[in-house]
Amino acid sequence: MTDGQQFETFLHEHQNMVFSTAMRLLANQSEAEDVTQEVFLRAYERFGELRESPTVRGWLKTVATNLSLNHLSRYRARWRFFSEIFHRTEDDEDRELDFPAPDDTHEALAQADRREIVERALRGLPPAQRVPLVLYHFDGLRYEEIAAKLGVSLGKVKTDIFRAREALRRVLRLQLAEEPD
Amino acid sequence: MNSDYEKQLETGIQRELVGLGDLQAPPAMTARILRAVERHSVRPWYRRAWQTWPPALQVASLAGLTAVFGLLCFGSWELVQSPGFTSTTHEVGGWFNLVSVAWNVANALVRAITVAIESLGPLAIAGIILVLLTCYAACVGAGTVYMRLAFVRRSVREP
Repeated sequence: MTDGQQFETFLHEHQNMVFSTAMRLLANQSEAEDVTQEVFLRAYERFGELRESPTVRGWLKTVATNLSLNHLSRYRARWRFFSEIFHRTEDDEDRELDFPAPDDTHEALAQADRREIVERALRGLPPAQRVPLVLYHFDGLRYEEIAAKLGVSLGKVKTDIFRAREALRRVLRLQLAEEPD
Repeated sequence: MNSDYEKQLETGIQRELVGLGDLQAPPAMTARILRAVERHSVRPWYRRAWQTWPPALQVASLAGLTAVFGLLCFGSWELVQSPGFTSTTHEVGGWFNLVSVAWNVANALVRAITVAIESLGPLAIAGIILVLLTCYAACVGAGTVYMRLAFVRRSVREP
């Protein structure tokens, strides 16, 4: 197998994971495609060492995450400030997740495309909530690591992740044993 | 926030998200990346990362950079030793005198403002602060309205 064919196989094997990482952080398909392309260009430059590496998935995921965060960082100062304003009132909080749960959610959720509903709900979250939530649940980072990565306070990370989970719970109609007061 | 509830919420959301798996990359993604890689690999050597340059060029570039660095060090030393250097430093020092004059003027202005504020009554000072705060709040309010109008988030509707 030539190098080109090996790289194509490598690409087929990992492109969904890289695209998912970028897409969930950016919530924008064309930007996620750009990031995916950039990740694989970097991988191509180091293909000699990566193809045999057991940690290649971790490397690709880290590069995809960092490139996506770099992309977002251009807007980060803006959304860090405005996310504070948007969260001032309960009324605003209800409006943050602009993803209406249909009346027949129970039936819809029972059907096969629940995954699509969850993905849409994720994309509907504001970046200030979606990014830390994705880093926590998909990348397995701790709150402190997320705070350091995003350059925000630990309290803000916890609050944003809590709000994101609450928003998802409302959309997905998750039933918990103990509901909030 | 109730920590039991938070824990349940975290577990519930984790269960939902873990079940998602990977998204499917667009079908054209592979071809697009392969084209980009092809374009990338035919770039001339000087547009690639230094690590990927041919070894002879890496050695030559290192030698060139070392020579430039050595010349800069030698040139700086010669400059410091030259007779004209002292007069040049005096001239540069003169530029900094301007900074010191500006500093004195700023100090005098601050002192004048302090005296003016001290001569005002506490009521007038409170009034000025109130006006400033109102202006600031108006700016933030206008900015918020602008952002809300300019960046209205798109609704994602179920089909």
